[in-house]
Amino acid sequence: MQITLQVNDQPVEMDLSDLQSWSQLVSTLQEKLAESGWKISQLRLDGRLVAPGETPAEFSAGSLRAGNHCVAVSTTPSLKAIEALRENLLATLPRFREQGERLSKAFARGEWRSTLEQLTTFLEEFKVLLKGFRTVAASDGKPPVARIEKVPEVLSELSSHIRKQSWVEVSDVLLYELVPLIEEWESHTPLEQE
Amino acid sequence: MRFKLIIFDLDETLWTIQQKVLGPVKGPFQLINPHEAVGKTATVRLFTGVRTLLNNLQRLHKHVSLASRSDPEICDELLRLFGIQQHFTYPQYGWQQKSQAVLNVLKAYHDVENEVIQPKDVLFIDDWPSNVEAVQETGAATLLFGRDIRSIQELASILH
Repeated sequence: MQITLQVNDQPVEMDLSDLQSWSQLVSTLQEKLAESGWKISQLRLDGRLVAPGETPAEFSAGSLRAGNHCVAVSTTPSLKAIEALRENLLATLPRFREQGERLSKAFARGEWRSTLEQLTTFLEEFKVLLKGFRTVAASDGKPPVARIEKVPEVLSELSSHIRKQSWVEVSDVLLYELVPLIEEWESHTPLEQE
Repeated sequence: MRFKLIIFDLDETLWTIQQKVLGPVKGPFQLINPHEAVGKTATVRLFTGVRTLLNNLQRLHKHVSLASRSDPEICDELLRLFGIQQHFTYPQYGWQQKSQAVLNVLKAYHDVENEVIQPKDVLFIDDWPSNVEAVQETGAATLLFGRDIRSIQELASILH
């Protein structure tokens, strides 16, 4: 039996040669996807939708080794994956507070330029993290977590002040806009249980 | 920085007011984001950087006060909403000359705290040329917001 595999319309290489049944195939896929924080939302065999628990005729006993088939999987992120990303974002809070305070104090010591540079690097890391979170949260079909959609807007304002090298405005936006936004998000009701 | 006391004007110096209708600004106000408060007749936006500037002046142990012609109740409400009210000592409101307002602040420091601050130790910041000119006559240093300084960042650089 030759099986080609697609995950979210992308061809994926996976060794499925030891599989003995359809249920084994499904559970193997589930395990592999779960490792990277995803779960199966839809399964198709040769373009036909396969219901959960259904064993397609092509995979019934006796025909397992025959034919070439395409198994296509659509995925959504698992709650665990979303929560992990959320935790990562929340973990940046102390760093934001620290950067804002440092910036405010650094000016008196003439160190604000280097502090701004460090902040720029940190913001780039934060943006990548945020993008990841928004992508998985959106693909899960759930509304984005409270006010997270406002964060990019504030980040954009922050970038503009950094470009102008206006440390006093950067510090203000960090401490009085971004941190409260993330704090508010922190206290938001956790996502529904799966 | 040589100044012991910094006195700010409010409207168009620390915040900007966008009026919805002609007439007096009326409360109550509601904070819609950390820098913006919306009232019945106007939206007030605190200039970004003001909080950091005030925190830094506090860190430098500078006295800070206000001289504003706006309604005291409206000013108090907005200062409280923006969380900066505690920075200002002996604020002066009303239609008196700004030069008189500055002298009143100095008198309050003298009478209440027994601290003598000379006009030369005062920096006054306002967006209105005639106010600045009037205060200059007291011997205080002045900055005209919008001409001598164009942003809170620029002011912070001078005041550090």
